[in-house]
Amino acid sequence: MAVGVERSEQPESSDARPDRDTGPGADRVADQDRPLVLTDPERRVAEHLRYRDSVVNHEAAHAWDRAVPELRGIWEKITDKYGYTERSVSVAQPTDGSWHGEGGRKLDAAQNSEVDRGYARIREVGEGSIIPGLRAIEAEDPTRHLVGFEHRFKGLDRLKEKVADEIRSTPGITPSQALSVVPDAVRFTYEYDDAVYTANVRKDVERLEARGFTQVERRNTWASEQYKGINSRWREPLSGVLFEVQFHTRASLEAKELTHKAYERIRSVTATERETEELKDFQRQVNDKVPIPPGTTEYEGYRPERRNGRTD
Amino acid sequence: MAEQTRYYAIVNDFSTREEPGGVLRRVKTDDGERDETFGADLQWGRSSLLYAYECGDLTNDMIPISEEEADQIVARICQRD
Repeated sequence: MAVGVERSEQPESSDARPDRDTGPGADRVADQDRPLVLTDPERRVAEHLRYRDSVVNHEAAHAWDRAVPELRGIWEKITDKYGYTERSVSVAQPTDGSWHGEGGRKLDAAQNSEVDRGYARIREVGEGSIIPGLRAIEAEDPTRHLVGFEHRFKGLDRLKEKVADEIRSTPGITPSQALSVVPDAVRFTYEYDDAVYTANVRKDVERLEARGFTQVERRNTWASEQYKGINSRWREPLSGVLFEVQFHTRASLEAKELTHKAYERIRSVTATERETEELKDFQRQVNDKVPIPPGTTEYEGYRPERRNGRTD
Repeated sequence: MAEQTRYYAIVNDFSTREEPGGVLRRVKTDDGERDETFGADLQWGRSSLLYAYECGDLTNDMIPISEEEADQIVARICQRD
């Protein structure tokens, strides 16, 4: 398409406009039928970019929306095949102060108590400084919002699963250390339009840094078969508490939600190898349909040279 | 199909690439694949750490290593106990 929008050169009907206005301001439609010549070069470029972005958003949204019903059907077949039900609230707990989770995960009474205390502190830091910071950043740009804010604190059982995994798999680590490396005990998600995704993620990373948070790691997994998005770890400087910020488009977030039960099932480590393979294949099918936002592959991740001992 | 095994060093904020915190192996079989870590109980047991990493989890880095390097990590864990 040529740079600059001369509406008289746009033969498409108003119904075909991705940004068509059917709301209260629909009297603009009459104006759209009249030829509009933008003579100011800056306005022409701005209008072109706005139109191009709206087309990108429109096409991406439709491609994904068309794919979703079939993907839901595939998931329903898997659910029926393996007889999945809603995940139980929690594994029955012993009375000796220890904690038991799915897949044979365990914390003894002392470990469990240490994690409970640590979690309480993380929530305090989260409420006191991390959440206000993220809310302030959100307010700086009204075109995107924090989504899933009600899930900003990870559930305690899911957190203990991660701590138990870390203690078992990295022998010698203490429960407090294991808790401190789990970045998503406090977590946030920003959702953006496809067309402005990459530019606006960059801006929000800068805003987080300007707010005084320390970026610890950022991983771009838009090329992954299993998960699309950009996830980042941040540190609240005074407390040292880590938190996670995920950057999604609508489709990548919906894909994450659509595959969440498959993810949880695989993470439970109780699925057979064949079942796990089927679940991973489902995740591949879902993520294969997620539109890749423009420019995102050029936005490299950030990782510390050394990951030990707070050297980032 | 013969089983194929790949090994990964587990590195978190309290370990280094030179001295990883743990070791994971992914075993490919006719049915699919199975991930296991060598644990504090000195046994290989099922794990979802690599899968979580592949799905964007940032708790650990998972670094591909050779079987020889994996054996060294296992030996170090055994010596610790």
